Amino acid sequence: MKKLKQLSAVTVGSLLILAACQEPEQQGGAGEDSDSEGNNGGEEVEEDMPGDVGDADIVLDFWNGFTGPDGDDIARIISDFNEEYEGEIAIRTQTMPWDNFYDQYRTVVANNEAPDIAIMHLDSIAGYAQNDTLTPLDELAADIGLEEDDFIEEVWQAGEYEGSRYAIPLDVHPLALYYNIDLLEEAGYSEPPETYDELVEMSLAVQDSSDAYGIAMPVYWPSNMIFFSSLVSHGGETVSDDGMTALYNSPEGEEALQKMVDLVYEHEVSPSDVQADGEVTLFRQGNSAFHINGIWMITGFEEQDGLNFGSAPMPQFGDEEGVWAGSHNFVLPKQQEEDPERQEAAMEFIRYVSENSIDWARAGQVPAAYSVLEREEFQELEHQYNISQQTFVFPPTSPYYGDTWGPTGPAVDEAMLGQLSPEEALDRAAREGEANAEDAAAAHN
Amino acid sequence: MAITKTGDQPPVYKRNWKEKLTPLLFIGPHLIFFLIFLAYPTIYGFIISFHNWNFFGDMSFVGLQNYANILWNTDSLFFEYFWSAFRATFIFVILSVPPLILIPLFIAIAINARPPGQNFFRALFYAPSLLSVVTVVLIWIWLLDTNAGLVNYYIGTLGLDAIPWLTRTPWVWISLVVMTIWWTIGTNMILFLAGLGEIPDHLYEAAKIDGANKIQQFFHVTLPGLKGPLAFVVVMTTLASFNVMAQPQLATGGGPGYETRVLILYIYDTAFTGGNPRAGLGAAMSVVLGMILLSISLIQFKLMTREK
Repeated sequence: MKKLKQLSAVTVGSLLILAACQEPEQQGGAGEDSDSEGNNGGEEVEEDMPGDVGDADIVLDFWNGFTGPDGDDIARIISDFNEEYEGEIAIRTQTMPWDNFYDQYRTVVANNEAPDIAIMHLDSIAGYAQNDTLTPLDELAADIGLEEDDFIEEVWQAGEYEGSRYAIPLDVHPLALYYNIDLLEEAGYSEPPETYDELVEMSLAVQDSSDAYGIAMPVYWPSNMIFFSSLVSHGGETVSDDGMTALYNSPEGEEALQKMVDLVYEHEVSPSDVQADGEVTLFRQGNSAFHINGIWMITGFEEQDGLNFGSAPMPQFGDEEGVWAGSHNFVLPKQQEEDPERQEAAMEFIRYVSENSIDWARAGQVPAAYSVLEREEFQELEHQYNISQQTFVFPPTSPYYGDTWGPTGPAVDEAMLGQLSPEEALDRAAREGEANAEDAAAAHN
Repeated sequence: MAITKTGDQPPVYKRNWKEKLTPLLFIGPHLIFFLIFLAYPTIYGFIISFHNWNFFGDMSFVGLQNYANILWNTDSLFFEYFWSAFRATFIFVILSVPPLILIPLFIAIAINARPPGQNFFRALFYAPSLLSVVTVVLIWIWLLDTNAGLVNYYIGTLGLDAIPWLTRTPWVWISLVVMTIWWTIGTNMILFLAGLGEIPDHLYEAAKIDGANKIQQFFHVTLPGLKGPLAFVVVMTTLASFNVMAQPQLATGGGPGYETRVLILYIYDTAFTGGNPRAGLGAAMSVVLGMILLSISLIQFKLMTREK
């Protein structure tokens, strides 16, 4: 019977192929080393101008990479903005896959054709700031009354590089735990696990009471984001603040990774060899009780027929709280000739979106501003609210973070396959990462 | 005499001038595209390869450093990365080229024998070539899913263990090669079919009269008759296989570890991704790869078009 179910799920699944390549799930990976993983959104660049922008005094270009369903949500906000500011400010949007966005961004800034506003991932900001392609926002932010107190502290701080602010956070997208409510009930549980031990215990119970796996631990992306979370939960650190030294190849790091590996080979609550997106398939099919992935999966799971799922903070793998989180940020690309009027208009737009980011939260994100987080409307968004109840940990703001952290990707893969011990894997990653960073820093100087 | 001579010359001169220019007019449009999109980027890439450049600031000249880092500076991380990517590419070429030549060749010979439904089979084998690589890889990822895929489901019904098609060697290579074969046999098949159509029937008749059986006909009539197309297909397929990128990028992300991180994928990662792109190093690797491809194609053409 289970096999029959699997088979029909495979057929249904193939119909979802097209849907899958448009999901925003890949976007969370941009900036991580494996951002190419699902970069198959096609080459098309959409340009649209919601509302009437014909007679506005100032028309601003806004670039982003929201090619998934989230593109519609941002378009709705922009359309409202254009209506409200009719005749004064109008926003013209260009949406393209993130990879294309970052490729083109370099070129247009160098050629003085930069858009007025753009969205960038938090872990890219330091690098682009260092290369002098972003406008410092300290005064501009103060002018429109955006205040530090109103933002989640960590994400606000992450927009600063060498004492200057370069980004205004739009949202936070952390990892989360998704669970299959039906499978848990069958096993006699009504609440999701909060710790690693509970996760193992409940997974075993699910495997006793059904044919499903407890959890499916991915070999490839996003396995190293799970490692990031496990690492900080064990009290470890990712890389040094200057980005040059790997700190993940520590006893904490080894334990953090070992616990992930143990889920597969020691506790046997996860299948081995879960390939790209394999863990998503199993959870969609109801063949795994637990699933760790980004908040961006909400919409996809909600659209999955017959999947009765809940969401919760990612279980703590160690003793401390902390989970990987990324963030989309507004930036003002560097213009060769700055126009204060346009900058003010751009900041007005950022303030507007920030205040109305409840609409953005509906797309499957946690707003970065407390004024929105504390609103009832947000607390009514069940999944987004549950997932927001975590301690977010962002990567250090260094232009070399990506270089030093990047090699953990392949290293964690090989540890998850049992081909390398956690110690070997992390030492290799650290050696490669530090050489990478050193080379990048030397090239920059 | 002298007068008539000078009177005759100008028209002759004019015709020559026109005759010389006319071909240029036909080549011209392509030449412009060639110069803009191939010659210029190639030369510029060559220049970049002697510099450090992250696309933002100014290029800084570093001489042969980029080449040193991948070719003889064995302590360099990039030396290690480059050669592991080279190894990956080489494995793919070795595993994919023979089946990509032989399978289409035999299919073409079978179809050329005009069996019933030959047009149907021709269309059937060619159809996957019309799909984009993304579609092809996604279909195969679903089929080859370790725990939920159709292929392992059937393997399971035979009582065998699930095969980790996309996570472990050697299976990752087999998966990548199989999806490539399924995707691209159509193109080579069409080329072989065109070649087979060029072989005159009377050669086969003569061979038959001389008492040659089917196998002898294949080796002494078909193969020599296909020499031109075969050389072309071998060279083009080898080049295409060296340039593989999208299949490992989408199916394995270059994993497990660095196992399937092929050269083009690594060059792309180096030059275009991350916060600190290394255009110079990427360009240097492209130049080295280009040189390797050039030498291989030359050797192949020499060997295959050699007059006996």
